[in-house]
Amino acid sequence: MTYTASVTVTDQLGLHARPAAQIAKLVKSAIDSNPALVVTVKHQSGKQAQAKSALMLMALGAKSGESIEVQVDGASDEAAAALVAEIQGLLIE
Amino acid sequence: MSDSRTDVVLSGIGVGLTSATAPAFVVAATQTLPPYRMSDLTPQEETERLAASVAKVQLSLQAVAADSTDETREVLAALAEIVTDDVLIEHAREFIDQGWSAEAAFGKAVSDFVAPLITADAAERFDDFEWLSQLVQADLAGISTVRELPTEGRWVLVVDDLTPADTAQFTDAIAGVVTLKGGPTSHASIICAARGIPAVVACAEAVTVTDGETLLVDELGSRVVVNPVELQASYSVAFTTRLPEPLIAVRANVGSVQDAETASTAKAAGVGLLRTEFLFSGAQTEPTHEAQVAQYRAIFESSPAGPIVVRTLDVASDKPLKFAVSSLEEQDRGYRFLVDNLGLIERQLDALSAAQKLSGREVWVMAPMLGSPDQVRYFADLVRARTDFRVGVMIELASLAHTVAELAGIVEFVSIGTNDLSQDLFGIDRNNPVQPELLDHWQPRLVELIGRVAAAARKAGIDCSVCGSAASDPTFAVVLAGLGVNSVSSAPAAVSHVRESLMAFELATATKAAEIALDCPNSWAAKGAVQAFLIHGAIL
Repeated sequence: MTYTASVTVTDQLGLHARPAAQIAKLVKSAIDSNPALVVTVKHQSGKQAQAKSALMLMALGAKSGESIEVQVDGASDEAAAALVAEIQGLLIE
Repeated sequence: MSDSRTDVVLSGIGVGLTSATAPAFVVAATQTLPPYRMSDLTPQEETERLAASVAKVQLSLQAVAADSTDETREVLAALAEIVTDDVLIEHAREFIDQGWSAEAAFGKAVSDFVAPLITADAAERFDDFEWLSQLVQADLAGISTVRELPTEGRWVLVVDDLTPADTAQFTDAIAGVVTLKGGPTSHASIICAARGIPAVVACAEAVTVTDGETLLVDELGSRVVVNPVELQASYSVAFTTRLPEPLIAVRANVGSVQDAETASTAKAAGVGLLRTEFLFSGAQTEPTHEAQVAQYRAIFESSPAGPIVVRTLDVASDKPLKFAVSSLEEQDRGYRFLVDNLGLIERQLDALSAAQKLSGREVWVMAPMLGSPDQVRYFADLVRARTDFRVGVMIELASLAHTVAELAGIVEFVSIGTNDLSQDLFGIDRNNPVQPELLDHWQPRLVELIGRVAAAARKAGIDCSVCGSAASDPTFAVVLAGLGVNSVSSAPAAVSHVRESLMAFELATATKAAEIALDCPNSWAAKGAVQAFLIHGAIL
């Protein structure tokens, strides 16, 4: 099962260390309860990152106002949508 | 202690608006980490050492984060997450496989991999990650990084620099802070400013301070005084007022209704700098005409009697707006921002004009960061086509400071922004000064340039004001009057102090004070010589 959704970085400072760390923590705890889960984030520049690594998320260089694509594999659409909503919540400042 | 030193002045960069006097508590520097070395153990063993250590550091960071109440908590929580980041550990393992010790491998992974991710406009400072790297290396090497800070009594901490773990244990026992390193944006500065703890940072000379010496943390004077006897905090330099009114008008810098009210209470003669960014930063979309009119009107109506000088939107390079075209380059803040966002500025002018009519106040308008008379003419034409405001420009770039004579007939006033001007004049990044003393407003070459701008403006029939930190220093305000500046605009909390000092001296004395400052070799000598002259009538 692949679920894809777009989220917008509205934090004024872009996807910097603090939200990146919060997203990585969230994704890691989701993986703990579902080891099949893979969450990938794609940036318009073509770069992509595993969402369980805060540093890889920071390396995307996503700026405020840009959209990033979140791809969730290995979860039900319902669980994936809930996860994406939580990620969007962490990108609002 | 009959042989103890008194009134020794150590200069640094002040943070905050109050001073403190208390005995020094010198915090020992943490033990230096050993240099990177190759390992005697197998890569497998080093990998296990590293895994155990990052787990331990993660736990201790989480524990300190849980006990913190301020923004330190968020930084610590992010670092606690990042210390076990898969990709970071993967990088460290590559170094371990090359034969490095776990300490060296982690240190190298942070500098090779994390450093490039921290861009100049990020909220975090690389310092935080450097500290994380040191925590792990110290733990691996068996070195303690915990520093005991006092929890009873009242002390001024003297310390190389403060880490988030240090500030997390701050109590009321910390009356003031002096750091040898750091700068205006380092962790210590941010926390001290947020908590109202007077601090002087980047004060390398404080290395001479010994435990128990009495320290005056005079953050407004950007200095520390050891065992003060004659010298006092810059605020309480008690000038006796002799004149009914200040030598030159004292206006206020305002960014909110509350600032405007404080300025009114302090009897400011109008607003010398109304920053309009508050309306825009953090907004997801451009504020509507109605919203802008309502906010400007509220501030205009709370402002002290006198003109209100509004600066059009000035977007800092580190906080781009979602609805504007903004470059991340510092030099694009002025003309580039203006032409790229013409509609935004036109709509701002229209809202200001409507608010002016509703409030009946006298409004002047000026643009930030312009660099040439042509650019200024472009702005002036823009304003005059839509409003009947007096038009001016900020002098923040050396190029414009040198061409003020050519502004005759184009603008009616100029306002010198000393913070940005000194940065441009000396080619120094304000957030990362190598020689912080060059950014001090007492720097004689800056004083000289202000004098030249004032003289050129007078000749061209242009009103000349100074805003920025220089205009909030009561003693320096006397120098500004002596240089021929027509008005100053001070922080609301500083208005009454600046007024007092400008009511204490005749113009001839102010002119002499300016001459004394110009004759000095550096900022710290200029400050000392002018204070001695104004307080004791002494010429050093």
